[in-house]
Amino acid sequence: MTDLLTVENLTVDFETGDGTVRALDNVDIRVGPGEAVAIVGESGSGKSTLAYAILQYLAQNGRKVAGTVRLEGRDLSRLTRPELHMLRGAEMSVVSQDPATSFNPTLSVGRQVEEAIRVHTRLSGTALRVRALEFLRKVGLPDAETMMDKYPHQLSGGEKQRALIAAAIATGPKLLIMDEPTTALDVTTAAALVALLKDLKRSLGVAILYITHDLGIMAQIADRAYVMKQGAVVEEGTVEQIVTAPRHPYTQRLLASVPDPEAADGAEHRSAAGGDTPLLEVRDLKVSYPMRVKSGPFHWGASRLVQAVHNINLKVGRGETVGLIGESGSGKSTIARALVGLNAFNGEIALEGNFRHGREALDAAYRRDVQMIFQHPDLSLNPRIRIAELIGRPLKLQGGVSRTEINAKVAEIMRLVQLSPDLLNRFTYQLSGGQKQRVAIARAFITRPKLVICDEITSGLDVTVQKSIMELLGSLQSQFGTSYLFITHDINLIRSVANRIYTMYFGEIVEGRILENPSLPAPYHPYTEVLVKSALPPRRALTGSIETIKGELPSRLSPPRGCVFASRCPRRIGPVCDQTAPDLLPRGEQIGIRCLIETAELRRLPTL
Amino acid sequence: MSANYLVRRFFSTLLVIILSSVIVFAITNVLPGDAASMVLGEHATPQDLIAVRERLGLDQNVVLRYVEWLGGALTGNFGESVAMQRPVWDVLSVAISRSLILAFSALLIVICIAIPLGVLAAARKGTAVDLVVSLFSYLGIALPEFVTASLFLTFLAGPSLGIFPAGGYASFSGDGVVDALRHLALPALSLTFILMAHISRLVRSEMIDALASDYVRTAVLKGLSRRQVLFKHALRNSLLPAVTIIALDIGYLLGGVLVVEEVFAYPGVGRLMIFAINNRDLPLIQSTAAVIAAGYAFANFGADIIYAWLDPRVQYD
Repeated sequence: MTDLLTVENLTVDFETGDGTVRALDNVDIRVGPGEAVAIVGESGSGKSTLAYAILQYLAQNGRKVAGTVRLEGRDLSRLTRPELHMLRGAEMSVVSQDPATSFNPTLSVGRQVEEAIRVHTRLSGTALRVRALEFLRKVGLPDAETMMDKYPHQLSGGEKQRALIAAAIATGPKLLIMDEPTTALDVTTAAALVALLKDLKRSLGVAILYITHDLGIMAQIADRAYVMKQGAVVEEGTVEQIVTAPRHPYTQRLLASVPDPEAADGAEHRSAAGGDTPLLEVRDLKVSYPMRVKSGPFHWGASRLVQAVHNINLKVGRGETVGLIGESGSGKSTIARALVGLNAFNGEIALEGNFRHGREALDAAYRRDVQMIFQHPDLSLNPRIRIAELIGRPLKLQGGVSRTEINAKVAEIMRLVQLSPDLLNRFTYQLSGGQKQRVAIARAFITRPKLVICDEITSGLDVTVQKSIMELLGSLQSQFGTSYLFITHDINLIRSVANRIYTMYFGEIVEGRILENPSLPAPYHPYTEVLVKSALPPRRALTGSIETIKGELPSRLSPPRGCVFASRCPRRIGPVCDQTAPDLLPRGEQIGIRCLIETAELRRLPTL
Repeated sequence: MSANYLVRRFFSTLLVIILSSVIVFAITNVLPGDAASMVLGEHATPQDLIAVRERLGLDQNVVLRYVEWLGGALTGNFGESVAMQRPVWDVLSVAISRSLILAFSALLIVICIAIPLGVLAAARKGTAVDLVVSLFSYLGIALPEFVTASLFLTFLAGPSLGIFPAGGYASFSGDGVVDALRHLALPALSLTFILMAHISRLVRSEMIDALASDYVRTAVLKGLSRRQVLFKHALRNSLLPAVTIIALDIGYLLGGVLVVEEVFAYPGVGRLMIFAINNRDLPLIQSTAAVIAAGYAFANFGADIIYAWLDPRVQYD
């Protein structure tokens, strides 16, 4: 046997309040030296439990029932505690999901990277620091010297994840276990990290066990993959085989649920484009917020207004689905919050041609017509209120509706969102993630709004659940003619449903376009191109290479004078990009592109 | 930790002290009746009243008197004790030093015992050790210090055993270390009981949270030993809230000192204050109250500094 890691018949139970739950059921996997193997599955599939069971790190209520885990032939469950300490971090390292919480907030980054090395080597002092610096540079943190002395809260998510990888590989492990390392990151940051991992695998020869729910990332990074469902492996094979010829029905369903603009399987829910007068029109919207600027000997510096979004002009037609895409910090949620009156704003918002200036003008009638669904139903739905009350409350607040009428409407809308009437008297914690989001949708729809703003409503959900939620939104739209403003970072998802897409970067709309089918013909903004190429759907990811961009968002306190994307743009012309701020100008059939590159040149780009 | 942060915290501490001095001064001056009749009691003759008013300067404007009092206090001149006929500062400074010894002994015992106990209970969560520590803690919370003090007095200082003296004070320099410690032991222990419970419970629950955190998991999977994980990673973060609570508990300690000093006839600030109140010694009441308030403010200043040192995020918020 030449395998590095072999897991045989691994079975793990968890003792819970409701009895014993089988988390892993007869799992067999193997990883060869230098091989990249992915474990894919949805939440509850047991993929993370598997990762930590391999590391002999089970939760207190977890119990190994059967099976063995061998690293180079050694049975890990037979190791003594000191032997295990010698092994962890030295021969087998792990990088876990959330970089924000994986660092101890009170110790400097350098100290925590050095610590990982010090435990397993005899290095100390300068030699230790040199080794830490070497690996921080190796993971693409060019300013390693200053990075060492910083504290975790001073780093961005991508930087933290890189530093964690540096700590994990600096001891020269044979196996690197990655537990959803890109899930908490933006798509461009995630793409850069995946590229880094491929690079490290090649240069260091380290084997990677990659846990993920994202089949696109699986296709990019892994040689082979195991598909897990409810604690068991249902399919294994090369990545190519799993993506192109899945055998197990679950794998097939999983792949079919991944939004893929090229897989035109007739499952599109694109509504017919609206008429001439838009339902919603936003003119010169601007939102700024005060930010404390530390200055003077006592740090009592005045607060300064910084702009979160500005120059926002957009339209939503009747019955249309409009996508607002961009990464965190782009300002898309700020716009959503302004539109429902949660943020003060400057500029005009018109609903059905009726212009309103400022937040105070968003009256009760407007609020009834414009509803919002939030990203985390766990946070936006009160856990102490019963489902019936949660859904019916907007009607009650609206007034003039009798109790029996409300009950009837609640029952009707629950039927429409496919929630069983049994749930009426339940609380949200008794529901699954998908059911909770259906409650949030029902609550938004009960006043029969004309516009529903969906703020990243599917991003916390499994792909199969995401698909069913998208289908539900589609059927509600065709029934009520509702318009959607759909905020998302997932460009693949929105391409197959939107009539219009606005791309945002650093508080500005950099591109607006009208869609008739999922293809994105030139001209387009370089940032739109980056977004598309950062998150390839599984089939494309097998062959296509991902595009990565370097760097971070500019600072709000010293916004760039020129183009906001200039510092990271792969199609940058030159210094002119830093000097001149481009306008959002109509190009070809597009609503507008904010870029200094000539239209003719942009037109020559291939269709995305 | 930036120098700016230090300076900023220092000035806000000063502000608190000045505000509290205003309140202390106001309470003893704005009360119904006047201070002279308070000092002399109800059988005072008009001549005596006038004489005392002059001596205390009560015939002057309130604001002027406050400024004079504050100016004096800042230069160590707290006026003259009416009851003892001696400068307040002479009496007070001696009492402060003794109370500080008592309070710091108590605090030291608490920190040295409660924090390890909390760590132990968290590391052995759900076992018999945890249960015993918890029981001990709840017992401590349930017993007010005058009960603990009386129990100690009865069982450990009673004539039958006589291990410890029943009361009084012995100085380290004059009476020798052993004698000084014997006099200090029971009052200090009486003060520690409740605090010990507070802090060990807090450290336990903070440690349990920290041990379940992602960064502790990262540390374990780096290959650190259990001891390294407990003390290098978990404890540091668990101590943050403990520092705040310890500083707040100093306020309790100052109150507890009043009771315990009285029970053990320990001649510190607490006992001095009770003496001042019993004898209606206005300048002494004002000064002891102001000193206790200042002590509390400085304790919190100290806690802020330790907190900022432990948690690098503090200076940025």
